[in-house]
Amino acid sequence: MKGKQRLLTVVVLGLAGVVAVNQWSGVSNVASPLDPTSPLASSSVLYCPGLTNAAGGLSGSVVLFNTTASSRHVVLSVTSPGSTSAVVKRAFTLPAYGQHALAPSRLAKAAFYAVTAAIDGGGVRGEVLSSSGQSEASCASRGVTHWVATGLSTLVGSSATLALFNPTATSAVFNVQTYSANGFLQPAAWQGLTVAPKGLVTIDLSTLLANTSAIGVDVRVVRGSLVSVADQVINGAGSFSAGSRGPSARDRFALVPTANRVLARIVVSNPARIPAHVSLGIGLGKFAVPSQRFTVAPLTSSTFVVTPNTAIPAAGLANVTLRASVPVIAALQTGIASAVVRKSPLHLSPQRTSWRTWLIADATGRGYGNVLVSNTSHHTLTITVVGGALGHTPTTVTTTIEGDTSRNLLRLAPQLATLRHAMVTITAGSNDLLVTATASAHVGQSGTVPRTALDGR
Amino acid sequence: METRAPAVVAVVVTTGSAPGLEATLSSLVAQSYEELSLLVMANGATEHVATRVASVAPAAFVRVLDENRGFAAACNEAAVMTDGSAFFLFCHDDVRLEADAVQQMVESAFRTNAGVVTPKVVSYDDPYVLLHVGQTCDRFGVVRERVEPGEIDHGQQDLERDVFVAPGGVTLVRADLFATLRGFDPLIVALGEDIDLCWRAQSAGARIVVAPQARVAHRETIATNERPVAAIGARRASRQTLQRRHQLLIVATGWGRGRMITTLATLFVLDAMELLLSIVGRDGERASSILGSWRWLFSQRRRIRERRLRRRDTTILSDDELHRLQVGGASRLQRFFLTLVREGLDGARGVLPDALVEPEVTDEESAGVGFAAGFAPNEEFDDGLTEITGPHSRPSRVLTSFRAQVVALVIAAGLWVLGSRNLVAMHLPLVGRLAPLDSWWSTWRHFFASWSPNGVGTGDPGMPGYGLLGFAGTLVFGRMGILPRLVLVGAAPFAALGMSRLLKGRVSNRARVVGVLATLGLPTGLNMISQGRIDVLVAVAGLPFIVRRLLALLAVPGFRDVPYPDPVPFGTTGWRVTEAGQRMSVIMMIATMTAFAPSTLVLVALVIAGVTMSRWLVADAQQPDVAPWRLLGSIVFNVAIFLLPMTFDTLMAGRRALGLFGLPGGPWSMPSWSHLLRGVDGLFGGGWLGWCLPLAAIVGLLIARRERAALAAKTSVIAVLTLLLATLSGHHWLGSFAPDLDVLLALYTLCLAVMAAVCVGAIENDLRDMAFGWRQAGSALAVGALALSLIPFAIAMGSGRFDLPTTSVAESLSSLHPTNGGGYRVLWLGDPSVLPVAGWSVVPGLAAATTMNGLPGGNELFTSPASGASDVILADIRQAIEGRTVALGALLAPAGISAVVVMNDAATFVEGQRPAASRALPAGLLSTLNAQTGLALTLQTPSAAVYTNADFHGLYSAVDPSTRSLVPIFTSSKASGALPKGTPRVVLGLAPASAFALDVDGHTTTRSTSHGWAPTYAVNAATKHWVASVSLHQFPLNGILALFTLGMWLIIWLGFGWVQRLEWLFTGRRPRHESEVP
Repeated sequence: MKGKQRLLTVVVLGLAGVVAVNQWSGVSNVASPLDPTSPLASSSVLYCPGLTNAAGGLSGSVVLFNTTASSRHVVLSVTSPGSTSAVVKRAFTLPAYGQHALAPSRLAKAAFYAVTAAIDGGGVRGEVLSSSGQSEASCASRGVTHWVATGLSTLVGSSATLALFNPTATSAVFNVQTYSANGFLQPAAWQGLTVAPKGLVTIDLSTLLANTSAIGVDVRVVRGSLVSVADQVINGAGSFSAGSRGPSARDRFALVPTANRVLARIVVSNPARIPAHVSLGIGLGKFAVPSQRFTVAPLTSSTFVVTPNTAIPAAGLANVTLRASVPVIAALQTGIASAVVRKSPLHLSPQRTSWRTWLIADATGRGYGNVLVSNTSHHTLTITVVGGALGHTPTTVTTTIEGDTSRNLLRLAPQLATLRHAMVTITAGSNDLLVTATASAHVGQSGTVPRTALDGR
Repeated sequence: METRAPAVVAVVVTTGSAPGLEATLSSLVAQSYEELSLLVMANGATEHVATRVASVAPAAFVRVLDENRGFAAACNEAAVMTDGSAFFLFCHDDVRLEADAVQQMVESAFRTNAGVVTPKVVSYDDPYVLLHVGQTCDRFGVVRERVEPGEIDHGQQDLERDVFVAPGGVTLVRADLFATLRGFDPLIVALGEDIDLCWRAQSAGARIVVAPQARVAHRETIATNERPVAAIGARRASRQTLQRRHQLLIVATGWGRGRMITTLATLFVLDAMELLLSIVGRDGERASSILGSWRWLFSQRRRIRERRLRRRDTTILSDDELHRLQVGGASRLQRFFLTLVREGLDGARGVLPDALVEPEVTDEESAGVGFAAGFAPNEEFDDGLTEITGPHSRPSRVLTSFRAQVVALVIAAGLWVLGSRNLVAMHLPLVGRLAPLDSWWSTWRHFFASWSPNGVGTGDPGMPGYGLLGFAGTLVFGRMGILPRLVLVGAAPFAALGMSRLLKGRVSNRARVVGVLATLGLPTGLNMISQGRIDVLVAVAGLPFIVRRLLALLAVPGFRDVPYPDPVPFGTTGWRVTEAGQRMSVIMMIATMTAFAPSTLVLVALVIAGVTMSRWLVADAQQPDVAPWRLLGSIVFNVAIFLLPMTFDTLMAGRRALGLFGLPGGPWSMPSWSHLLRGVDGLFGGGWLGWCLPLAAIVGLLIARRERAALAAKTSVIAVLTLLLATLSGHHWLGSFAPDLDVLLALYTLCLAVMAAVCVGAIENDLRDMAFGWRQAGSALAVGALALSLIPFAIAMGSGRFDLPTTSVAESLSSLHPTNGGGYRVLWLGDPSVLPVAGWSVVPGLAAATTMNGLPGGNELFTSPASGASDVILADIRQAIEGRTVALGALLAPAGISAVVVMNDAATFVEGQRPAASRALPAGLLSTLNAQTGLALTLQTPSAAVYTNADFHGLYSAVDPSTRSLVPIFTSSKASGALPKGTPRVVLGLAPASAFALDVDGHTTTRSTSHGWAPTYAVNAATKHWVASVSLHQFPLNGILALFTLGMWLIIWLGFGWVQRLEWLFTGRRPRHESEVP
């Protein structure tokens, strides 16, 4: 019987091994996040909608940054609404570690522009920069099927326009619904809209949402994908809102200004059919500020004023964390109190999600006020900071950030004396990095003018 | 006036030694009939016939014929010699007449006005046993006796009556009738001349009567093979052949034209069925008799024509009237089925089983009365524990009788026919490997081709699967479309037949039936039919045969109990049964299967490893002298030689060589462990009833003893090893080694079926030795499980096609043809098991393949593991998946790819209809493709997505001088045509570049490559006629290799005795037949 016992043991062990491997091999079919602008790419493309002509209030230029040591050949195509093919094309070479700016209004006459940059390699990031230098939005490397933004306003003297660009060779179809303090709107005219391949469509929210503030926009792409930007013009001063890829129940707004004569508001739109209970955690230096709670009714928007707020001391830049009972659309509005200064834009900072690589590049030459690097995970992150002046070979520093902490970039990379005319790439090994930046004080009162860190997504 | 009795001449035809001649003559001499003359015809060389006749019948005449031309010729000669007789009495030389036999027969002739009279024929040794009382026959010329074999004469046949045939032996024929009919047919030298004469006599309106008062004893030495047939023209033919020949002759000459044609056609069909049965049953003699008889008939067509013409002169009865005198039906067929039911197949085929030893009942045992008589002196009360060996002792009655087993198999066969009824004629969808085959000639061409279109084209040798397909197509007369249907319908039954042979002699017939039914209902076979995987079905069909031979080569107890015979020279008839011959035959089988399903080699390794490992765990009673790893190495080496083109391709494949055995699927689409244990990868067998077979297998493993335990041990280890390999490779623990999961499951489920049969055998034989307990309960459970396991099999019959889809994703794509003309390719992406054409792995769970000018065809059935220049395309796809490029359209354009089809299901999604096989794509693939700048999504369904390549510029393209961009040239069917005037460059999407040349205006152009592989040709600006053509210039190395491979197969095939059989072709000497008298 010994032989049979051995046999049975082997058979049982073998079958157990089969069960064990199948059960615990832990394979799941999940797509790993791609970095389309990785330096290793053999070709990449950036889509930059949102610029207008001078009358539109958001004229400006597309700025491209080459973060690699090799030059890149770029073909820029400019598209305007109603055209089915590029209006004009330009080709140029982007030098290593260099930048190149191009104003589409100089190439074509249109009210709105979408610029496509086809690059024969990777490592290039781009942004649209307003001519005032006070607003910028990151260019995207691919479209999304769900895009949200909030904080838009069509009050008297204000306009909000959505610029939607189809980056694919297939017609895209999308629906738009809005949330505001007045409620929910799903106009028939904004359902089933089509964008031709490589085409640009604009939607003026004031046509159906006149004199409304705190407008939240929800764009759902039924077929294909879109690259979207919201253009907000208030009293002739414009700002871009790049929006985000969908509602979120947790958000972080770093560098929220709390100071006299400063306006900082959190606008929250609730796309759910149940009330959203929102809790704001305010981290402000040595001050212990209790969490601020409020409720947003279903399918509406609500605004919470961070400053001026008697409950929150005006003591510099605060770190605001948002927790909601349901996924919400949130944005930070910052600016100078309109009662004091006219023609100052209200800047919108949308929700940002952490990523593994960010680019800080000063195209304006005005430098940065604060650049905060945050580790959103609970474990220590090792990060690589590659930075230097634009057009020059950068230096590399490797350092660490503890979990759930934020550090100033200049503290992390002491080799960087200044961020003026600088280009800095911050890279981590996982998607737990978040970079927030504000403009320097002579551009706008500290913290009121956000600057965009480019993630290339 | 004196009235004399009519003169009768008794013609005795004697041949050879004729030991009964004296007795025959004596009985004739002793006849009471006065007007009887005796004429002895000595056929050929006879021993002292004159002296012998003179000693018994001195008044007899003797005529010695120089040659033995048969009984018929001798009788005809005798008739010519005599004159004035009223009757002839034709006698064999082994009969014995009663004294008044002739008298009675003559009286009967006059009384009934019969033309032919036959006596009552009794056994020579026992005159009470009837042999013949006249005979009848059917329309096929097959005689049917009027008496049962061994029937005792009680006077029950003593009525004088009409019969159709007067059997040879002693026959009284009216002389004038004999003359009218021109006597016997000399073409019938033996066995059948009596039927022929009587048939013609009946046609002529004569009566044939049996006179039972005349008794004749007949030894029937010729018919019983006591004496050989020595007549000229019959020496080399067996009795069976002679009988068949003469029956055919009778049918060909005995009917009118219409009935002759229909009867011969029916006979042809019956003989064809019998031929098939003979081939399957390895009855070579019967098979050669059938073939020989038809060949002989064809060779005698001139003589048949002459006889038919002569018959017209004497025929009075019409065919219908003649047929009314015969019995209906086909006697041979009826006899076959009756014997089949009573005695089994071997009995029906005429193969007699070994006699069972019946316990003799002695007088002592049979004595005694009353209660005590129930017990023998040595009988014990508790003798239930006595070991009972052999398959003849059955504890229960279910499926024990041959009839019940046949009924079960017939029902199963009927269910299978019902379940596959639609597969015979339905349109076969483009799923699995059901791409339409090219013509027979084209299929052979693919084997010899110097170039094949797989990927971007390759000059690698054609895969041997094409050669085997071509050979198979030859067997079906070039009707290639039959082949996939044959495999779909016949693979599982063929496997069941193999299972029956595998289990023969190892378990009881009942257990064999269970094993056969289990094989038919295996989920692997049914699932592979529903997925159109005919490559796996080929493996399913051949696996039992291979396993049986491997177990014999490994000397597993029960599979080779006697040593191999001594070696004989290669090519002689006994070579096949030697060890070398057996090894070679299994190698050829493995090579055949490997050509279609290369993972078969892995199965061979698993079987050998399983047996070896099992022996480490449980030693066999006798340790065999077998080197298993050497055997494996020998098999692999020889298979590699037999499939030399595939071996060459594999060696050239480098790191992709392991892809020969299978492409890695996505670990997420791997069957769960519960499905794996049930052997399920598809729609069938996934329910709880699918656990029945594994349960029975486990019970069998636990309770089996002795030789059954040895078989169960080996089978279970093989099964476990197979499952482990499937699991590890499916989860990529073995790197790029990913043998086809379905082929592995074929072996696993085969093991389950074997163990189910072992379970039944163990219940029959081993359970009685065990104390009552869990084993008995488990056995009851196993029996119930086996019964329930048939339910899914029966349910699967419903659709008539085992849920093979009626249409496919590929065929549902309305048009893949680009609008701007020219040749083009389609890139297919999806899980390897879903793609309709074989390709290469891009990433685990995603394979890529290309087809030229539309849907897959017969030239893309097989793909070499070497991707060659196609690696560029695969690398581009991988780049896109990793997000490192957005210009995939532009990267695919040089290969002429105009459309990208991404499939996650082989069959079109229809609400409510189960899909054939749904395999999830790698997550993010579609979003990645959507992000590509040159790919436009033109169609998206739950089953597939189709992208059009906006950067496509044709498979053949030229630079347009005005726009400086590439434009398509030529057409999809022709690689020649006009060029844009002034074009400086032509680019082809065909690899390898060195194989193609471009002629422009009759001049060869200079070639370079672009993108690292695409041939590019510089066109002279001074060209006058802008017309070009592409030609293939490749040394026919592939053809030579294919020819060499074919030659090798032929040489080895000759080794199985054909060298000896065909020796006469070269030497002129025919091999001596066994029936020849030395």
